[in-house]
Amino acid sequence: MTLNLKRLAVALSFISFTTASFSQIDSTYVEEEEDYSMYDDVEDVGAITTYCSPKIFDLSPNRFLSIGYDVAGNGALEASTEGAYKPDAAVTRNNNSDLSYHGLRINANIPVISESKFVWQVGAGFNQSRITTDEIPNSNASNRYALLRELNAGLTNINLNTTLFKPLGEKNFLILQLLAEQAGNYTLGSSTDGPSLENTKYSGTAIWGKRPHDRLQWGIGLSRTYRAGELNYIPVVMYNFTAENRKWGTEILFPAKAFYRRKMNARNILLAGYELEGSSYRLYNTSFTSQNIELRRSEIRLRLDYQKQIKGFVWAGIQVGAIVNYSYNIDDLDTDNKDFYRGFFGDQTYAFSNTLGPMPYVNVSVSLVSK
Amino acid sequence: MKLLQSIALCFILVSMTTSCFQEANNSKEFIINTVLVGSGPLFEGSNTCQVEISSNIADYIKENNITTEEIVDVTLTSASVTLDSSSSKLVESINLQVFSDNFPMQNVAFANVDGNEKVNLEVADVQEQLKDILFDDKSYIIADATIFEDLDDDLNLNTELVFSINYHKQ
Amino acid sequence: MKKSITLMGAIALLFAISSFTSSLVSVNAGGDDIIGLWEPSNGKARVKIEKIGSKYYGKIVWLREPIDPTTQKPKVDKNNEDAKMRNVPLRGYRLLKDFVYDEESKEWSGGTIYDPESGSLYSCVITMKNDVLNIRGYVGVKALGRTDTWKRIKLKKKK
Repeated sequence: MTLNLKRLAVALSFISFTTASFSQIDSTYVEEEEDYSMYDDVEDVGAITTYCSPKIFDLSPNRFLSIGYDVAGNGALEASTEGAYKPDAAVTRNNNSDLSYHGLRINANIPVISESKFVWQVGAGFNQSRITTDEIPNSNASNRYALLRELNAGLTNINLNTTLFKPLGEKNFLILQLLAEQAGNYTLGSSTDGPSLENTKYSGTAIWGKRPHDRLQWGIGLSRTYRAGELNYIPVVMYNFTAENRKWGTEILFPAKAFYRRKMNARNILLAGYELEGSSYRLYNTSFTSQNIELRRSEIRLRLDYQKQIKGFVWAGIQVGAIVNYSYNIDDLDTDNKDFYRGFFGDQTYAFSNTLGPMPYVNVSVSLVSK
Repeated sequence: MKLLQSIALCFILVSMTTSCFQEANNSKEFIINTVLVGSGPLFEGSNTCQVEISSNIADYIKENNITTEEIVDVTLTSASVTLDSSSSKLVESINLQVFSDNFPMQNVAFANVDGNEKVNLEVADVQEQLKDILFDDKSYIIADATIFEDLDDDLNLNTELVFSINYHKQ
Repeated sequence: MKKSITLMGAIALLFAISSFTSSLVSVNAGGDDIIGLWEPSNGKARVKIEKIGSKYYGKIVWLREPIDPTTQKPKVDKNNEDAKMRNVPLRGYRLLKDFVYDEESKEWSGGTIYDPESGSLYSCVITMKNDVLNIRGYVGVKALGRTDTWKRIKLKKKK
């Protein structure tokens, strides 16, 4: 009996010593070496599908949070008097002023769900335009300066947005973007001059696309948008591409924006192109015939956009360019203050037919990004 | 009087703050010589060798009358690996990393061997927490050696790491 | 003689039991479940996760496209923010570093995941369910991140 116990103890000692030595590292421990070529030949144990990525190589960084300041001016504003102007009518514009604006821009895009098979982001934006025009006489009776006084109150745009990206297998995908915005000369927090829920403008874009490989992503879709200053329904084309040498590419969502991208290295990117920005701004309680009017504001921003990593995930950006005005007309609203649809082919008249000359602009920003 | 007291308080606060961020005005070299062994057979591609460092850096600074509080940082100034003549033709590149149980792994040096027996590695510009790693209870050096072809024998990497202990002495 | 053999046997048995028990204690069965070969959802690489010391690390052992089309040479870490580290080959590169297993939350945390495409290092947390890893890389807080699923693979048995 005793002898068996001893044999058992010796056997157990051998096994346990061997096991114990593998659980520690001593000064001569070396990792088991292996033939890397054996990793060519594998079989699956798990069962998951491969999905296409929402990105391609070298796209400009996705911004979680961005804070910037925008300065533009001086543009020559030529405004008509209040009237009824057909869209293509010849108009005499006598109310001239130099106009410039500046303001804060804050944007946030937070991933709610971010997985291989589904991405859902929600975001919010704040865009301020503190408008300055030529000095205006104090006379309130003069209609000539009434519009300028309204504009001098400044314009604010706040929005909530959401983006859904759904891959359909390895090569195809769907994108859905929705936006709700409040744009106008309101005062945040005011009970009388604050934003009104009934004035919320809704936009959206739906795209079906393909991602044939890591350097190309294209799609076609439809958009309901206010970028041209008023409500329009337009087709959209997406084309994000990176060249094989990884030095240049494109980031296009036509007609909203189109950029040529030049990558100096992983931390310095230069974009050149344009972006169409705009919305329909509600001017409240004005001195005009219909107290509430809509400024159909839209501009094409031609720019060079230089983005650079500062440290880690913090990037700085500077945009330098020119703003070419697309629309600065104003519509009267009817008695129930409801907006209406004109589109590209409607002939409803404008209350003010204005033009705004080109102007230079600069935008500087700091962002928290993910590449 | 109150103004004087305020000025004195400000001075004290500034002194305390700047003392936390004092720049090094002295340095001492600290050398680790060790052999990282890859036990054969090894295969074409990346092979890992690792060793636990007996760095005795704590004893070293004590011998040199340096306290840990005086140390501003520890940086790797040079790294070299000596191979035997057969290995020097087989090894394509060496990537050195250091880490410890409580601090993250750092890539500290890399070189393409190019057939040389004595290989001076390029030391990383970005070096973080080397002081913490060396002073930790258990620290390790990993060498990922990429070789051109299979090797039946052991691979010996005679490694010398030269650190600079940068400290501030009043 | 019989008495001394009995005593020796008892001592040996006690030693065996304590060694065996300590070896069991020092192997973190839950944490070690992550050790093995894994493939990210894009299928572009295979990563071997191993334990070094008390932490877990993942090394690229296979690349679907191992040659850089611009240089026609094996891919290297060309986007590393440290210029001196840009020639480190990607095959063999430690993508996952410094993960510690938490018994309570059943996750591997405190580590980082490196993206060679952008040269960015993300904080990372890993959870596992049924031979599938959820690898969440994030910036600062977990909410600002993205989860990728990796599947476990094994080598085909040689006949």
